[in-house]
Amino acid sequence: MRKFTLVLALLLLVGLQGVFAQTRVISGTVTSSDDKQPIPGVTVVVPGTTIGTNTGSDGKYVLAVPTKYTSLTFSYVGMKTKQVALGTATTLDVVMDNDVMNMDEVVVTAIGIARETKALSYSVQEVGSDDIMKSARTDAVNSLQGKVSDVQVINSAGVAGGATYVQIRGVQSITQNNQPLYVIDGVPISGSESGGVYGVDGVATSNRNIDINPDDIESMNVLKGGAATALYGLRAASGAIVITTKKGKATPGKKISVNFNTYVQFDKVSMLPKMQTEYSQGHDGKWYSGDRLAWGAKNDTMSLSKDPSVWNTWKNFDTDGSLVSNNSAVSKTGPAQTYDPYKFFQTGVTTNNSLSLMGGTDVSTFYFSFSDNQSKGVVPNNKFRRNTFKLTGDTKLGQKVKLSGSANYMITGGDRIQQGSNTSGLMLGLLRTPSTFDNSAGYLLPDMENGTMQRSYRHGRGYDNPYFTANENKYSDQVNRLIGNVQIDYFTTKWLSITYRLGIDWWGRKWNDYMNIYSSSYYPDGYNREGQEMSKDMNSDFMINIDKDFAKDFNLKVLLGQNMTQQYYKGLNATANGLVIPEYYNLNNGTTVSAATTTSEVRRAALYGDVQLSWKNMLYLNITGRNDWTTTLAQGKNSFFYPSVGLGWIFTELPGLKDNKVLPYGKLRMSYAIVAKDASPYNTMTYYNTPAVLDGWTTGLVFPWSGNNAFAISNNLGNNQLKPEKTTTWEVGADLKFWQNRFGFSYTFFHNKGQDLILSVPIAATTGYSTTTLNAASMTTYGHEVTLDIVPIKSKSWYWDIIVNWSCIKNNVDALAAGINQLFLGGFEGSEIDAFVGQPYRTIYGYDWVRDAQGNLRIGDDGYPVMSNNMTALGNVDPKWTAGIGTNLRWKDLSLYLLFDIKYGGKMWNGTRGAIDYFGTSAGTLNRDEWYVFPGVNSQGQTNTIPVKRDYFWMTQNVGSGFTGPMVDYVENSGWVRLRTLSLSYSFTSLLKKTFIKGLSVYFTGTNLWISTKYQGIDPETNLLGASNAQGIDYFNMPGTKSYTVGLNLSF
Amino acid sequence: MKNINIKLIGLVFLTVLALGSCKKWINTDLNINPDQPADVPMSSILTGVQANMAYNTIGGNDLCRVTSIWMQYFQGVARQSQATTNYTLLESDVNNLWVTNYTNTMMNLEIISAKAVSAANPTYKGIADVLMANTLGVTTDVWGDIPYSAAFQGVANLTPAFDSQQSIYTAILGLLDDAITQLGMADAPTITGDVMYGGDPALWLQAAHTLKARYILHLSKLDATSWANALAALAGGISSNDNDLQFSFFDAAGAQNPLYQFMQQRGDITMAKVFIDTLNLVRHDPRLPMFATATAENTYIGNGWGEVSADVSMPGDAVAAASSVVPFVTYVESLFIKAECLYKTNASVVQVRTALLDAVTASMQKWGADYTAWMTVYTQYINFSSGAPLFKEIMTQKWIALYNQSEAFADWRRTDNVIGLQANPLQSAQRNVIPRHFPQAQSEVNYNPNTPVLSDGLWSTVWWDTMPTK
Repeated sequence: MRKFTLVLALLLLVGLQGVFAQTRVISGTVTSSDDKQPIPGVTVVVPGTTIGTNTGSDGKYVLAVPTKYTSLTFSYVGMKTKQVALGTATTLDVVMDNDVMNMDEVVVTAIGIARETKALSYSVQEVGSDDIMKSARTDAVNSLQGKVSDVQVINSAGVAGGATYVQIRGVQSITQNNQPLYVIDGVPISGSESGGVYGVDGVATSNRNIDINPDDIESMNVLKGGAATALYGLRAASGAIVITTKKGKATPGKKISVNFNTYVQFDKVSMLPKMQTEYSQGHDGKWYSGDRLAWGAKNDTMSLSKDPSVWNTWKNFDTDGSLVSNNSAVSKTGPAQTYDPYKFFQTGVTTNNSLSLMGGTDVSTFYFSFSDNQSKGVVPNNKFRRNTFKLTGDTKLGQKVKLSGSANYMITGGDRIQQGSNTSGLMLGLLRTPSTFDNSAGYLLPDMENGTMQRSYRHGRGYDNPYFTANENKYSDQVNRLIGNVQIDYFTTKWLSITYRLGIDWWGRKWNDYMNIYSSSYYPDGYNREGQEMSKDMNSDFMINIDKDFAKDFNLKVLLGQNMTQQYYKGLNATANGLVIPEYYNLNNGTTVSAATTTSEVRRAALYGDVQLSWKNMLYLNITGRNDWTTTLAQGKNSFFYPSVGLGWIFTELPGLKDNKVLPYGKLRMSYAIVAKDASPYNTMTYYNTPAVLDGWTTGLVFPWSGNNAFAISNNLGNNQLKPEKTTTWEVGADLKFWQNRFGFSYTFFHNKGQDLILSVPIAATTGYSTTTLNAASMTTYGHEVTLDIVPIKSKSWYWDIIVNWSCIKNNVDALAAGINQLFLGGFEGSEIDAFVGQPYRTIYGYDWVRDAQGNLRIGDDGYPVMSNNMTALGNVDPKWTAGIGTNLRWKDLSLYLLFDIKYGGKMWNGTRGAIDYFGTSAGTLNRDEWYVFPGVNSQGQTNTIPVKRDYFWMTQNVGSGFTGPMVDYVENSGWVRLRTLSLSYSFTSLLKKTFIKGLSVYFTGTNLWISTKYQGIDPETNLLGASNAQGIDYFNMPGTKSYTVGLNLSF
Repeated sequence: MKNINIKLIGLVFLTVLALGSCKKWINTDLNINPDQPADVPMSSILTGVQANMAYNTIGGNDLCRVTSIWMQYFQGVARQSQATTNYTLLESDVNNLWVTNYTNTMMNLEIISAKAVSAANPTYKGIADVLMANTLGVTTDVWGDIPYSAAFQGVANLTPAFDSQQSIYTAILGLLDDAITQLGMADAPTITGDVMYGGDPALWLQAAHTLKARYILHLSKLDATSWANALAALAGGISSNDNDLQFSFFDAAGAQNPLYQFMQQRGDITMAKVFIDTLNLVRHDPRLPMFATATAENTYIGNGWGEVSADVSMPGDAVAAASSVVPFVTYVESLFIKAECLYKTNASVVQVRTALLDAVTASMQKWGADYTAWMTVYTQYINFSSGAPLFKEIMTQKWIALYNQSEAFADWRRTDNVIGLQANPLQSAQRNVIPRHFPQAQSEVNYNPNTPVLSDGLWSTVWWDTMPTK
């Protein structure tokens, strides 16, 4: 740390020398070539320095320029940037041209370098602040949905504060993390890499990109391919999401600008599994109180009775009475009743308020914001809250040095509900409850024996009553996070500048997770778990920038940099099992208490260079090189170099094509790059740990053993031969803009070949170990990306555009490791998401029916199909193609935005339906009394004609349901067409022109208002395992939501 | 110009500074996990190995539950245990046992052994040898050919070759000879971490001798000198019930006997009719209340073939209490070895009868049975016995005494069912034969192409065994 301070001090000293140079004063007016009107707010700078100003409301500027500088640059959004040479005159009036082609559009690329879009040899796509605001999503990353091709964003949880899975151009790694790197203002932060990956049970936690206030974001830029991310090195091997936050601006005639954005959002559960209300609790056609199934009597043959002869034993459970036959002689209170399970859900409410202040002078600017986001989920007691504070500022120290910095403090956290394959899981209890049992009639009961017991449909055992889960089991967490950076720019000469940037991302999280002792999962013990964790992410970049015109027509931009990063994580957690005092949740309340620590530390260093050589604004050659050193690989294996090279050719600059009206802009681009990724820490050595002495049947032994602490060699063999995994990637593409930019077309083909991919593999136990980490796998991914940009109408009061993003990805696992054809990525044994050689990554793998060579079901002599003994590949989770179609329609100050999101193909395992078919609660079991002939052939190859019933015996005692039989019938198409966003907004700005109000708009946004899908359950945008590689599992996941938002944005 | 020079020097200086710090920054020692030790003392490994051997390798459910079902102590009434009763045992059913034997047991014993050599500690070396010999023994006795000479090499050999059982037996006896040398050294110290014998080399020396006798005796089908050799090896063996090599469990969470945990957490087995009726109806054996629980009607009943009743006797406190011990090798076993060897080496019938009565008495004492009256009757009965019936009685009493120990399965094969167990009659003709072999472990089949294919599945025989003609 002291070293960095020294560097800063040195840079400051060197820079201040410039202050005393000789200057002269230049002034003038900037006007538009279109309407000859003055343009306010144009940025006027001396190239290569911090010397600059903005034009006033009259288009006038005054600037003191040191005599040695000979030109000024004028830039303004939507105008072509102009560089004008200074003569001897002190007055310089400038006329700027409209830039309909966005030729000089600048995007932020790797390491926070701004580059002209036209100079790039790879595709980039950006989402701006307006789009982010109007999508009104708590996690800003969700606003990328449908707007950027080849970016898959899955809001996996359907709960307030759940994790978001993001995948750019498919997957690169087999068992390593495939989430992109998040970069804020040039500083990588700890993002999706941390948190939000959960097991098949438990609660859905956030991943850390949710901490960012969306209203602070100026733009989100998605860097997809290797050429785009090569400069970021290891951490961006799965792409990068480059976030640029809002900065202060000096607005002429104004000290402070204020922006206030507020919205209130209402969430409703969007899709739910269809349930049956015709048959009662019970089995084999008879009602039984406390029965686990809904295979009982037909409700219309049954009546409620409170007659003591039938009702006394279980009257606390069957509160409205026991069910008796309509013909029964006992006294009755009325016909059998059913209860709607979905009454459980409430309307979720989110309120979001954010306030920002910004302003500045010629010397300094600042931006300050505060935001508060509070969500109540559709599940009672599911809450999420985020508060953020951000201060960004910069100041010029003389003419040559600019100092800028930012501090962002965030507090996020929530209360989360048990979900998934968990007997306390909310949907599990809710959907398994027969419709004749009323969960809402209380969830705790006095009990003679134990004092208290839970009231649930299985008499307090089995699964938790959903009301019990939402009220008595709790998981809450809170994160305190600080992201800060300082940057110093030193402009030594016109063409050479030096930048140093230091960023810190620090967060601490505390969590508490408890289960009530009456919870069926841990009955009669309950537990209390607490943990604290902290993460520190430090990033330092030292860069030298060269930007020089030489010879005639040549420009050279060179960046040389040195980077150091450190990621440190420490977690401490403790568990108290076997609670003694009910409802007292503390670590001192357990009969056994255990604690553990988790540590992770990685350091990396790099040298990198980026050279852009351009000729006549037509040919752009980009070359990058980076050498990384990492601590996670052994000495000698931990240094590696990877290059990228790209070429962009704006062929419309050719003499014959230049300035033609049909195709004013056309670019062909190609690039080639190698990107690498190191291993996760601690895989190079074999360690000792506490022995795991148990078998597949029992819970086993606990150490220390009567006062003797014990250790055993780990079953995971360290591998000090590990080297980085490597992906070789190339892409070609074209960008064409026709007819004054009324029609734009962009196409990219990319091809990634991953080799030496690191994966954890099982090995023969006779080696002394059962798993190791190897550089063994290879995988190929390629795809097409198309973007269309059409503006059919553009007039003074009307504007209509259509933007289409389409992409498809093909993926094949070429090899795993020697002798290994398949690798478990996640899920349940027998219902798995696997990597499978010769198949696309994320193959659903499970049991099928026995079939003949033509694929027909083989029907047994009893008329039923037969379950196969072997598991097979049953589909690919990832879609065949995806598309986003967005359209803006504006009339004067009223604008309408629609975004359709299409996912074509892709499979998901609907384990929920498989299970509720077994329990008999699903609408799919209404055909239980109907005769049915299974389509298929018998052992002689003849068409089956035997009618059978899909009844209680077949579905629960045999292999008829997904719970007892093959998963194949529950692997469903999870494709969709959805209206992702509908946003209607009206701006009062022109009405309020004469007032102090600079802008006022109101908007209504609807999210997921309409979905068309073949999926039979909740919204198929879901995943049980959160932001993990194993996508495509729905097993009692929380349902997704549709939301209605009303917002107001005010600035003055 | 001068100004620029200063700046350039400054620039170069800064760059060098930044680069120079790189070396220290990228310190690969940071990649050592602070939450897991890279090295630990022998004593802590020994405690874990002994616990794992007791819980899995020697006394584990995946070994003893299977052999006890086949030896008709237990009857499987649900899940895999029921399948085991019907002579179905899958590669996946034995995988946990195989993996834990190689990783958690033998790999750790190899480490203790290597550490003991470099520390020149004969006691640790001897103990590691004894436990390795015992593990190799129980492993090879159910799996036949197994990797040993090429095993435990990590990434250097990911597909170890299988050694013949003959060479495994050479290794076992070699390890035991080495153990006897090491533990017999005058300067062998008392060591820590030994939760079975308190680190006493003299007791381990006794166990080494008895184990040597056991494994020599295993070769009796192949080599007629085995009985004489085993008898000789017994000298210096375990001298009393108090000196048994066994592991004690406790009645506390996470410290209970594996069969107790299985019965609590799974159930799936009951007592078998054959064993219960032998002890209850035929012999009125006073060990029965220790070996099995009484039913609600205070009787002793075992499930017969095909029966899955829950209201029958369950495994008793001798083997299935929370604090039941898991014996590795015992004084009782050594006395039975002695009785068999005396018989087979043509000792006088009085000597053989005395040896048998000593063995049975020791077994009664071990379980605290009230045996005085019963013993009087039994002694009279034995005093009329001689020849083949006497040998059958020795082996039957050994079968009873070694209740729920996998050694009974070795004896049964070695003596070609001299005790006369009937195979499960509900199985089809080809399958109504008691199995003699475990299937290969699933993970070994998947990841080690050297894994041999068993010609006759569960009815294959290990090297020292042969399938009797039917």
